[in-house]
Amino acid sequence: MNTGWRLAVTLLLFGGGAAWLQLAPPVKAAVNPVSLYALPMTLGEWSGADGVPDEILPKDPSEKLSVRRTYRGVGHVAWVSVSLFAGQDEEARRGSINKIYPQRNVSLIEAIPFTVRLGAPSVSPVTLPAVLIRKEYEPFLVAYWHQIGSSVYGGEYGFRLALMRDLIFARRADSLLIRIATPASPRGPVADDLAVVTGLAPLVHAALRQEIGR
Amino acid sequence: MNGVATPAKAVDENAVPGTVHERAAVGPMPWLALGVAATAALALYAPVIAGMVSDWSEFPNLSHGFAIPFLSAYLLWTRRRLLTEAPVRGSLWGLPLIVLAVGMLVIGSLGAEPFIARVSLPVALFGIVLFLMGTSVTRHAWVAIAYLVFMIPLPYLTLKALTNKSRVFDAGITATVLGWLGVPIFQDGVLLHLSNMTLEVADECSSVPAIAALLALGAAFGQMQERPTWVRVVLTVAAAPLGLLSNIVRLILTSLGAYYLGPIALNNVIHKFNGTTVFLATVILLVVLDAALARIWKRSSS
Repeated sequence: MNTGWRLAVTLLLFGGGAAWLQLAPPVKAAVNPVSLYALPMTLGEWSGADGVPDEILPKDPSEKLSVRRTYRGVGHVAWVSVSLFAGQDEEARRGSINKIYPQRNVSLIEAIPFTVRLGAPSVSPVTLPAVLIRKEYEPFLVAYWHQIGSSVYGGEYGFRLALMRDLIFARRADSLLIRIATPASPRGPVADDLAVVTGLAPLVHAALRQEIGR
Repeated sequence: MNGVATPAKAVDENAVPGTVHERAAVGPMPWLALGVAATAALALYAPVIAGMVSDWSEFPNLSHGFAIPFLSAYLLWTRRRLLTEAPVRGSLWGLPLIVLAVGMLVIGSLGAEPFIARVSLPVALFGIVLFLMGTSVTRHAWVAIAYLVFMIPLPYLTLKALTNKSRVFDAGITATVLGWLGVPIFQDGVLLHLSNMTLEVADECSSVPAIAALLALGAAFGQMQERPTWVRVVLTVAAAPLGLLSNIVRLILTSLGAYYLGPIALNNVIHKFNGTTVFLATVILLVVLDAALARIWKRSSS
């Protein structure tokens, strides 16, 4: 193959790449924002009210919409935030727990992964991340997961890969970030606080799955 | 793989393959083709390059990115004689690299993962040099092309996770050393509670965001000296830990100053220009390390 042919092949490949990028359909919205309100006021033994203190579950400036509820039940309080991130083909509109807390002057962020069964008993348990944060000396346990359709992603890298797959093949760029927070006892075992979260998480997931899952 | 040059012996019986005689027989065509392909690559990557330039301008920790293309061009310039004298025999091994680069560009752009798209730029350049010019030219050009990797910011997720870990690590080391020095201190995550004030090891105090700049500095320092490969590798790799060390020393000095002198210690030049302080301290440590390695090298070669 002579130089001219090699140059032609190179330019053809570059042209093909440029055409592919130009002809790709635009990213479209996949989640109806109204469906976030599928999160019911009553979740099992928990009864909810609108609103969450912003210092506990800060809003992410890039979220499009969020439903934020305070749930009380059996001597515990828990705060739930379901945030919709749309148009995440732009990096600035992407949701990440790593962005939210470090920007809010939280003094301690300690990762505590835990395992929970979301959905039917036949569904394998998933390992979700939780972080123990300390804001002005008050500790809180915050568990969270990303959700695309009915699929749950605990790890940031797994979520990014799934979002990439959705963007490339389906041209969809919506996802939910679900956070559940509860006060953490300063000296008590973390397992007790995790029990609150593991009790509430399947109820939240089931409520959202019915409306948003595809 | 397949030669594009007229065999040198056909032109000059005395020509040695790989010398200027063979280059002369090839003519300017392959170099012209390389120029056209490189220009096409730059046009294809224009949005990616624009994104990087925007990041370099927006984030001070990434501003070294502006210098990298010039340093890369300088590395090519220092090898210009070797490049022009190298025999030109395009290699088909470059073709899969170009395909890979275009694939990465498409995946990174459509998947909104700029890091993948950005990394594909040096891969594309490497591919076109290998495809059009062959292995001999690539052997002399690869360092300059690979150096472009240092202009690419790390993915946000990785950078943020590393920075968060580094803040706690830096605070832990600082608290331990201050304890050894007899300063009463209590560490709570990234907070350092002294008896007179509380200090926070903030994002800007972590040296992780500057690691790419420090690695680029180490690599440039190693490449611009007449040194054997092993010394160059050590200098490149050592820049990151030396930068971390410089930063921890700076944190310890700042904490000591805050304990003994009060808030005035936080308003001084060393603390305010922490990036510059760490950069300069790392340069000094690299010079010292280079001098030590050069002595070992000369002693072992004599």
